[in-house]
Amino acid sequence: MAALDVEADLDQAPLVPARRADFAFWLGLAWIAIVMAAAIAADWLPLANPSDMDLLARRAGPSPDHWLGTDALGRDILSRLVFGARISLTVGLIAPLLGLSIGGGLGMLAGYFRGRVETLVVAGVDILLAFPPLVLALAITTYLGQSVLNITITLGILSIPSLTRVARAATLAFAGRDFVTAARALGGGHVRILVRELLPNIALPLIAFFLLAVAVIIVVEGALSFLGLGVPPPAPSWGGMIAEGRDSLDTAPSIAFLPAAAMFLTVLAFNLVGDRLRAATDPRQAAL
Amino acid sequence: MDEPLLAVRHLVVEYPAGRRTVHAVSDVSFSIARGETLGLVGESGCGKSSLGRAILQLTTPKSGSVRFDTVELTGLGRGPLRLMRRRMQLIFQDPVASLNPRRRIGDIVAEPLRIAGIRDRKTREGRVRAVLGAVELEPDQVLGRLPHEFSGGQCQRICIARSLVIEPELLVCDEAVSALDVSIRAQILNLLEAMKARYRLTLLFIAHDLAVVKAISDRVAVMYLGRLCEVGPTELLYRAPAHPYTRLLLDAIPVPDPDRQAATERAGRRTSFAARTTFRLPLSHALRARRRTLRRGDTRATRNRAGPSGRLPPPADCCVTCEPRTGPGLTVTGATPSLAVGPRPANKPAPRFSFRRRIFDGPHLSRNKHSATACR
Amino acid sequence: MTGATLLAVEGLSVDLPTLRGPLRAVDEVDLELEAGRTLGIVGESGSGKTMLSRAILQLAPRRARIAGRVLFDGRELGGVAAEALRRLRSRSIAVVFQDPMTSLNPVLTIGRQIIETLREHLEIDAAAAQRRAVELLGEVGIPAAEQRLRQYPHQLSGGMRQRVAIAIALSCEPRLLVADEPTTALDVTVQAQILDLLDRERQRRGMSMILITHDLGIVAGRTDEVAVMYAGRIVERAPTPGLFKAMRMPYTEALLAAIPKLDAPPHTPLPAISGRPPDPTRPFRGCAFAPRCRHRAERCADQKPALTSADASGHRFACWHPIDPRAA
Repeated sequence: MAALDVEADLDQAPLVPARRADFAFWLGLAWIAIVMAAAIAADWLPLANPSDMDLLARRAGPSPDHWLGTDALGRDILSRLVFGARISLTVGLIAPLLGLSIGGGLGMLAGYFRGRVETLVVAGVDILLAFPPLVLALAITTYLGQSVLNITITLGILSIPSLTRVARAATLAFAGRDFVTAARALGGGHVRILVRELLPNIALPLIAFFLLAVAVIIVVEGALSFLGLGVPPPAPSWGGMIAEGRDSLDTAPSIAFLPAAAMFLTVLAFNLVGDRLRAATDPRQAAL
Repeated sequence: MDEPLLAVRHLVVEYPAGRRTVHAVSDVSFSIARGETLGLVGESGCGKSSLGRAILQLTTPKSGSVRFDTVELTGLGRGPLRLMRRRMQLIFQDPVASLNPRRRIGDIVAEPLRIAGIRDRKTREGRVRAVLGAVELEPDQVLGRLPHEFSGGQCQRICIARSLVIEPELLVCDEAVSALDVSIRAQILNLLEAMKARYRLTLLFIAHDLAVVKAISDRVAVMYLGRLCEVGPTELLYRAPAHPYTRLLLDAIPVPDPDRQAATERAGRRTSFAARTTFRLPLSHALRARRRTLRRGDTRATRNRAGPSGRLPPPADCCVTCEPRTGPGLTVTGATPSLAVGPRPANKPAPRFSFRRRIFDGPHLSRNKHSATACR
Repeated sequence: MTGATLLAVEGLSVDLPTLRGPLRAVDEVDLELEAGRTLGIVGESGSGKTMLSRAILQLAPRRARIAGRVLFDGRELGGVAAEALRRLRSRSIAVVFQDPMTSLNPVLTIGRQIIETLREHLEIDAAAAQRRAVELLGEVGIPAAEQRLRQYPHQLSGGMRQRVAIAIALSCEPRLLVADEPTTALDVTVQAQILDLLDRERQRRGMSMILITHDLGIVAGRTDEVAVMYAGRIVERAPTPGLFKAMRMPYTEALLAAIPKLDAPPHTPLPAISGRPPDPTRPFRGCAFAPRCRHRAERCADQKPALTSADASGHRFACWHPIDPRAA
């Protein structure tokens, strides 16, 4: 029996052009890279100490000593931005990661097993969703104290519902497909199917949504800091800087606007990258 | 060789659909001997796919027994069932969808071996290469690629390879060639025959295309609305079908021969209309338990006894006994007395085909045949 | 040869731009269809039959480049303005697609969809449209029409939905009906009913019909002429009885042979066509079927055969080595 020659058809460029990431995607990615690099390497950069108060140069504009000026207490804004990025990014990345692992896992189980598991998970998630987020944050910070860890855990818990929903939807879309039934027919157990068949298919859409969640969490953290519920002073954080700059809006508006701009750009960057990834990993494309 | 490889007795498969239940398979019994190919034919919604999956215990049947080589499959524990799964495999209708789009072919075809516990990579690879060669694919060209790079026919070959790599005894083909082009279909049918010989398989070939089923089967079973109408050796069944539904199906097939079609049109189709109207007699509930003998040409059935929703009442005992033109009663054609059609025993409730079944189309729900009847 | 030519296609080619270069979906197709006749177009997937029907109906994707002419009733369709084209559709040319679940709007009732079409094209008032809709459903064989009008597509079976789609197509009394694989998604008994319905309506209204399918069996009994497509070209065209009696093009013969026959005993090996349909982005210099053809010769790989005929019977084929009917 001669073998069919499939080679002739296969070494070809795809008929439909692969979705090429555009300018916005790369710009967003670049910004995220810069911010992350700066945040990680903050200690080694030639920056002033963020807590150093230069009382002679309060609310000063940009100068050779202070590239972005100083705030109401004379602290260097640039260095506070960079160190503040640490807080924002730490919370912004780790909290959704918590949501991804717990929520993603629950969503997968709900979408795969259906029945009672699904009912329980969905009910639990709905209850969580019903909690007013700020009240929960307030409660936790009041009783357990304000710290990066507590904020991260709080926001992580609050991000579980949406990630559960996405994971469950993606799992439902794939669990009914024939290849999963085929795996069962081969004698595959639940763990094998979840890990080897479903996970590779839902990983990308989940990651794309994760990036969007990062953007949201950064804003929420900023809001909490603005309200004084976030990381306590003197640790710099973007939200806190905005709050501090509120009093100086008429004399030195840049004190509030610069951290706001930093937050805006970072959130925008995560949104752009996440959105492009989501479009590229649309399950309908995977079905083609 | 006396013991059939697969023996199905009184199998019932039901699905919940909202508040009602769908009776996908109602009291079906048949056997398949080792090395035989049984073709299972029926239109969409007759329950043949449900039957195939229930036999493999992919869905749990409500009642009935499935014996595979002296082992009773229903009620088997998860561990022993997984061991049994290696001996029976399923080929699906959509070859591209049955392959995980994010895994490579070599990985996919080796999966059954991994599940079976064969740890040595070299052994696995050897067997994968051998089976890919058997399905006429060049292993080196195929192993490292993803499913979307292949055509439907090639994907089906890969699926067949995946099923055969663990050398099962029974292969269930659920509309395995229906989604393929005519020329590719012929290739895959030839391949299945070749594989059957090479791996000494027993085949349950489920399809809606009677011509395809005839080409590959030793015996054929015809299904309608969850029950078997007729079972018999292929040649006999096609030459002299006893059941009107079988005859109806045969008449409806478009034969690629204009002269024959003209002839059928003048004579045959009118017969099939009559058969259709008698066959789908919607019996009223009062007649539920009684055996009903129908004659050809009986036109009582055409009255549209529509309820307020415009739909006909459910058929209680359809296709029970129909007199063919020649002999009296239902001829059980075939050596194996495995026909399970008969009047419903008085103590069992009649199956209630839910209205939902006709509202929501789905792969296992019956088509609205009654409206098709009434409109003609 | 009864009436005037209703539809004429001259040298129609459709190219789709892709990364690998232009994909020739339809390659220089010539067709004529007279009033009141049925043409069957047969081809497997990738043969270009769907793209051909789209191009004829002026529904090809925007990025497609179309060459050649399509003349309906002597009038060229390519240059017609959008408004005039819209009026032409439904009134003169109607389409029935393969999957009624997607060709019918799932969120509108059947009644709404039929009445919408009627009012749009015939400019009648609501009450008259309602009456006509009920009539139409009756004509296509749907009982209890008034109740059906209030139902949604998903509440009907596949066969019923296709009847509704046909009713919508016929609602404005078109002169040409294009049925693109109308029964592929249906069961065989329903298929027979739908095809009978199309036949009946066609005869009643004196319509012309183009029936596109992959199934030679469907065209055998229900068409006046058959055109077989392969790799975007028409490779054989003949009046139906003549085609089946004597196939000249090896592809057509191979296609027919590959269909399992009801007469043949079980386990007859099927003479399958080896290989796969050609890649339309890599056009073959010669005859596209040559790599898979049993009768191929030198010339077949070099030159593309044109559609010619050997006699006056109207049987045309594109082959350098046609099968000799006498040798059969």
